[in-house]
Amino acid sequence: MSPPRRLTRRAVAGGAIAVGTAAAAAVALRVAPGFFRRRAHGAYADLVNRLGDPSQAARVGSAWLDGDGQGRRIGAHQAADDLRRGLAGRSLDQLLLDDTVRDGGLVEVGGWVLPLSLAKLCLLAAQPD
Amino acid sequence: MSAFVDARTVPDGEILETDLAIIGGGPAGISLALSLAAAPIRMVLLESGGTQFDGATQALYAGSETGYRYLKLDGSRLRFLGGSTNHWGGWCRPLSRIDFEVRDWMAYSGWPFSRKELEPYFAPAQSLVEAGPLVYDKGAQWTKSIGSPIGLADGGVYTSWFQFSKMRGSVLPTHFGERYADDLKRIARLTTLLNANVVALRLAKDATRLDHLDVATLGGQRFRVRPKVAVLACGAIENARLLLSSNDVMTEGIGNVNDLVGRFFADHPIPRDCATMVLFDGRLAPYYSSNATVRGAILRATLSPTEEFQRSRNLPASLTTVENEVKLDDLGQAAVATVADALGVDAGHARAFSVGCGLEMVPDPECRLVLDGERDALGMPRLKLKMRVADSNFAHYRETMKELGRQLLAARTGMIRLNQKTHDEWLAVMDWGNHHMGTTRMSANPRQGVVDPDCLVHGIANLYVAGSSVFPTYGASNPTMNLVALTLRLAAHLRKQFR
Repeated sequence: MSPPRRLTRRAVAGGAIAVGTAAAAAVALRVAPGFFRRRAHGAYADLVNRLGDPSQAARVGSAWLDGDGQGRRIGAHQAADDLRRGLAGRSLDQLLLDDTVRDGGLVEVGGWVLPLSLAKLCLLAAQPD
Repeated sequence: MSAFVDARTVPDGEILETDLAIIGGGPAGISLALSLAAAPIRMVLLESGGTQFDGATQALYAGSETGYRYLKLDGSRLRFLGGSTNHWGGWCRPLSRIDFEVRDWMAYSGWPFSRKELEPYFAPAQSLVEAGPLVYDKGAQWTKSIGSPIGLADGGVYTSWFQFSKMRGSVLPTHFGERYADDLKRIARLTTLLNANVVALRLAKDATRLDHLDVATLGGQRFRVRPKVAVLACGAIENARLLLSSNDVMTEGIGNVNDLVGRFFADHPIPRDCATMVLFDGRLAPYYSSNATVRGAILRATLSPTEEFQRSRNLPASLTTVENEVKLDDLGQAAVATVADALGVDAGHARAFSVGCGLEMVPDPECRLVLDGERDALGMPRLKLKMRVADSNFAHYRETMKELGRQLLAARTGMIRLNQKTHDEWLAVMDWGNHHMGTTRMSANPRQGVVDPDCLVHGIANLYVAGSSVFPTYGASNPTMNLVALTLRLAAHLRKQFR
């Protein structure tokens, strides 16, 4: 049986730093998750980066592209044009709320009822950089 | 207090004379007898079963089904005193105003009178089904202390309310046979015959009046009841069977000159898990997913299309229930996170719920009961059900759900996933309400209905029909309370007739 190892000051300090770093990272992830997420690059970055988590949006966009064909028919270029026009002088949430009150403003993606503008944004997020 | 009479003790060949024969001891028959208790009318109530379930009697209900997958005919109803209230779920809600209207987008729709005609009878019907005070769409006020309704933007869907028949121990609803047996025994002018199967309605030779009823028991006795007036109250399947099979004078059956008896059979399709509803803040008032008892009323919130929305989109009625909590798949989690973020809402506590529904079927003359070649133990022809449900019923419901999704998004409170799209997907989650309706539909026009607005069979002076078989359009409300209300209206009419 080996004798118990002594707790050195260096070990205590190292442990405290490790715990502190982990806690700070957790808080930062909670408070400002976007800071740590992948940012989009490329032609549609100005649009896609309006979303907090482009990788989640990309999952939705891929489902729309794989779905009933409406996503494929619109195409990324058209979607970006529509969004830039729609977002001129309007916030993203206002654009989405406006979708909920106009005919044809909603689409189904994998069964989820979504504002069309958000689906377009997701479609752009699903484009390769 | 007079005891019930076992029809097996009635001498063979006996003829019983009475003022009023009530055929069937379910909610309609019992309500009618109770409502006429004080009237100077001699009554005979004929119930096929006893006071308990009996397999041999129940087997008289057996039939066959073709077409759309449906319940067994002997499995979706019960043949003993109290009828199908012996297995009902106790859900109550008066039919809506629009349910009575002729909807020009829905063929064969409309009652021959408006909801106003039935309104005086809802309170006494509520009392008979023991559903407590009449609250319904005042439910939000009654349940304020329990929680807030789901936040919805203005639109086509609103929180509607059901009430429930009284709880007894762990059993929810009022079983009419057990509950009202003593009350029936106390009616001085009523004879209740148990184990008494009416096997034929016999018309006078001129086919304008009912002459007598042939009654048989499984013990082999045969006797007659000769009433001045009879009310057929055996449920929507058996009412049609008796009218169709009583074809010795009118070869097409009684009340069937225009080939309507047995047609327009309807039930409420109840697809399960037809949608998933997410609430971003995760807060769902408990009265959505289970019953809440407030000051004697057992309440449950549902989601229904407004009448204005139904009219503007040509939609049938429906009700949506919130069921159990469910976990979201990867796409669902991504969709919720993305939508909430884009709307500027915290979805850190979001919860998802499975949603079920009850649908109003569009009246369909080809959804029908016909006599089969087979006969039961008493020699009566069995029935075959030709079941149909148009896919448009489901497409219409998706529109209502999509509207709910729109209202949730617009209020930034949540979102919806529509879980079924194709015919096969709907079929896979299909259940039924066991709410048989429509087979002896009511209309002022004999060419369009089997009974008139007083529930009198067209062309027959003294034969009435009670129950949901006379509903010409169905709504999404459960039929029991409504058929009791309609029966109380019939009782008022009969009281005048016998005066």
